[in-house]
Order: sequence, then C-alpha cells, then structure tokens
Amino acid sequence: MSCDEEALTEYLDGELSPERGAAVEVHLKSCAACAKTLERLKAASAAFKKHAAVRSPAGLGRETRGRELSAVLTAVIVTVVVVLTVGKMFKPQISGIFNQVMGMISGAASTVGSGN
Amino acid sequence: MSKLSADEFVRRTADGVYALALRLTGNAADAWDLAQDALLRAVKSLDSFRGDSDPRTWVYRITVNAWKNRAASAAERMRRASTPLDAGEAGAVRLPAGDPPADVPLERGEAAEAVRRAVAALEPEDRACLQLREFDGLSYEEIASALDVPVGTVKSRLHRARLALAKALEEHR
Repeated sequence: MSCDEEALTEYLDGELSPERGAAVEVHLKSCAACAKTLERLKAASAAFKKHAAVRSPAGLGRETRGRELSAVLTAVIVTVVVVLTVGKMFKPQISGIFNQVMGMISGAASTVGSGN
Repeated sequence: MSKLSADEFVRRTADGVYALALRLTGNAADAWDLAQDALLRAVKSLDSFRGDSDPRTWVYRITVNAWKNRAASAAERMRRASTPLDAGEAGAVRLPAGDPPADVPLERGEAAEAVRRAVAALEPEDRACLQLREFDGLSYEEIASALDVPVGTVKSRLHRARLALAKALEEHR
C-alpha cells in the first residue's frame, strides 16, 4: 500500500474495513512518515477532546419548551379574538360578552408573560 | 405526541445541538439563538420523526439547515447593503462570526489556548465534523447525513482539521 494520508484518519476513527485496516497496519510498519502522521493525528484528536469541550449554558432546554408553549397560547388567544370580533360585527347583542372575555384574555396573557 | 416526550427529546439533544451550533457560528450568542431555533423546529415536527434513525442525526441536520438559512439571509442582506441605495442596512447586518468560541475554558495553559485558537481558525464545517466525531462519536455516515455532504468530504475535513490542530500544538511547544 502506498502512502494515503486520509486513510490514516479513517484508520484512527475505525472507519476502514478489516482488510484495509490490516493493509494500513502493514504499511505503518515500514513507513516512518505515515507513522509520524498517525501520531500527529492522534495527538490532535486527544488535544481537541481535552482542551476544546463545549460547556452548555443553563436553561437551554427549558427556554425552548417555554417558547413552544407561549406560541401555542398566543395562537389560541388570537383565534378567540378573531372569532369574537367577527361575532361582534354581526351580532351586536353579544358585545357585552365580548368585553368580558377580552378582559379575561388580557389577564391570562399578562400571567403567561410574567411566567416566562 | 405527549408533552413529556417532547421534553425528553429536548433534554437528550439540547447539549449536543448547542455544541454543534457553537462550532458552526463561532460565538455563544449566535449559538444560543441557533440552538433555540433548531430545537423549536425539531419539537414542532417531532411527529414526523419516529425512531427510524438516530434522533441526534435528525436534529443535527435541522441545526445545520437552520444555520445555512441564516448564513444565506445574512449574505443576501450584505449583498444588498453593498449597493449605495441600501447603505443604511449595513449597520443591521450580522454575519456568522469568525470570533473565537465564547465557551467557558475548562483548562488554562498555553496548550489549551493554542488549541482553542486553532479551533477558532477552522472553517465552521470542519469544526462541526470534529465536534460530531470526537464528542458525539458519530460515524462518518452519520456526520455526512447531518451535514448533507458526501462521506469523503467528512473524511477530508476531519483530516485537514486534525492536521491544523497538530501544527498549532507543535508550534506552541
């Protein structure tokens, strides 16, 4: 097997078939340059894992679920307002009920806003 | 889909999504926005995913697509801002950053700094390949699926990224 640098990365990651892996191992025994490259790749891999880990910020998942629930509640509120507005246009006698419900929705919306 | 299953999904994938988002965007603020965006999209379409593949690969694909859409939008705004009539938009442009990741350092020292600088200098997709391989343990096939690139591209990116880190380590000694 001739020198194939990228095959060394595949070998390091266990991505080679058993046959190709065996061929790389044979090659490494007789090629100092490839053996050196493999050591460099191993060192880089180890250094990345040791020094460059990402620490997740707190609250990431909770905020996602909060946004989803707020979106659902907003959709419900908008739907109710549209239905009552249309109803009010064609049936003036329900305007009293409309004003009562709007008051309830305003109260619920400010509760959701303070809860996020 | 029950609320509990969506919660569980987020609990299991949020850290990995954020880490990938940080590798793609290069800074914590953009990573947070991107991660939230991706997780929300995933939760909304969770019913369309039901166990036929690793959920991480699925949500990472969503994350990468969301990142590409943002980059395309930013590039378009920049293109429009480069014309005299659109000069006023220039101040509102926010490109995917090449700044060093603002993750909290777990270890001090020159080697650590050399590695972090080298990582920051990599292309976003190269950083993403390293993250998914070294910390998530995904196979080349899985990484290729997440990034929507051929397996050969994953191999090349990993190889190039590791050589760059190796050079940085050797130069700092």
